[in-house]
Amino acid sequence: MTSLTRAASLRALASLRHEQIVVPTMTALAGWHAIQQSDLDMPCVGAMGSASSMALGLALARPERQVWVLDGDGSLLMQLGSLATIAEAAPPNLYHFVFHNGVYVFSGDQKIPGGSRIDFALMAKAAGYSKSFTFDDAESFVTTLDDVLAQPGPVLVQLKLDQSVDDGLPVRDIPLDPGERGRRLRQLLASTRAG
Amino acid sequence: MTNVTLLADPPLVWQGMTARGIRASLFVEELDRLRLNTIVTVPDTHQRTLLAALGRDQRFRVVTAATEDEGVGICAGLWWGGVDPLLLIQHAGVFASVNTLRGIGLDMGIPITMLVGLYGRDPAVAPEDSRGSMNRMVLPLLEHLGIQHELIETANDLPALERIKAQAQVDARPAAAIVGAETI
Repeated sequence: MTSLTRAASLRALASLRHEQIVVPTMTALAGWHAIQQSDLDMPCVGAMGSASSMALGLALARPERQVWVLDGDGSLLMQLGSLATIAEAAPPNLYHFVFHNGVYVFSGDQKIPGGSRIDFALMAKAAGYSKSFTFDDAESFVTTLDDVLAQPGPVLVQLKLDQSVDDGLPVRDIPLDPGERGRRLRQLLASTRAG
Repeated sequence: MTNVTLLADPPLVWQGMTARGIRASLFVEELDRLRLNTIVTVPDTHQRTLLAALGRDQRFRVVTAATEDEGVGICAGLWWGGVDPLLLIQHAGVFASVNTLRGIGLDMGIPITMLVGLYGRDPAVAPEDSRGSMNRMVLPLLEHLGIQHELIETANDLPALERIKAQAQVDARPAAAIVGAETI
């Protein structure tokens, strides 16, 4: 068993990413941006907690595409009710990855309420997600991810990260203009729909 | 095109207040005409008959969110995906979602058409003169945020919806139709 890092998680996701819309936020955002950049990325910055809701809107509007949200644990706690909202809307194309490190990284590693103990996979299942999974080792995640993405959504994947490892990827927020990214995404999706 | 007959609004007595209501069916036809067929809501008592009518009508999809913050985020995702959203909330929801209205609606430039109900308002009193803080403060709050708004007091005010939708798109930011009289 090898501990699961943010970098290993993101690289596994990037290896399977094709035409999916990806909504990264918080600590997943800078790492994802370092590994892969696409006009189908819609970063959630400036409104912590909103990634899952933004992804739900995209999933409802574009049912023919998978939407992946790369959420944070503290971030999801800010709009925890979105688990019930997503479950009720039941988009089969929504995949919700929660990067669970137990701390608020940006503000100085303060423990989130519940710390590492809190279980988002259980919460998602109880809320009514189709499936939920937890991974805490890289090998299992890499070998299983393809099967996870073949499940009908909404699916939540809790990634319990080893915070003791410096994964070498940037952590801090990166300069992005989310308004411009959103307009570009809308144009791209409109052109692919028309085509 | 659907012909809409503007019926005289019957008086409504509720919680000791005499108000005039606007028929939900008039809103429904106007929303459909404006192609605002995806409704994101945190239910509003003031607009409960409208919500009930939308829920029964196959032309509309109603997405109920747990919070107004979620509602703003969902609307953004819908818009990026090519769907014009309507956010139907109560005045309390404007206060509750200030951070996402700012961070998503304004900073990301999302044209959200909002329907905001003035629950508990005394219809004889202008909103800004209301005793209750939510009715008194909500319009100044919207103005402070730079969110254009128009008040819908009677069925004759319903064309405001089209102006508000157009305003949101021109300004690339949310704009709000304020439902001053309960829907019936």
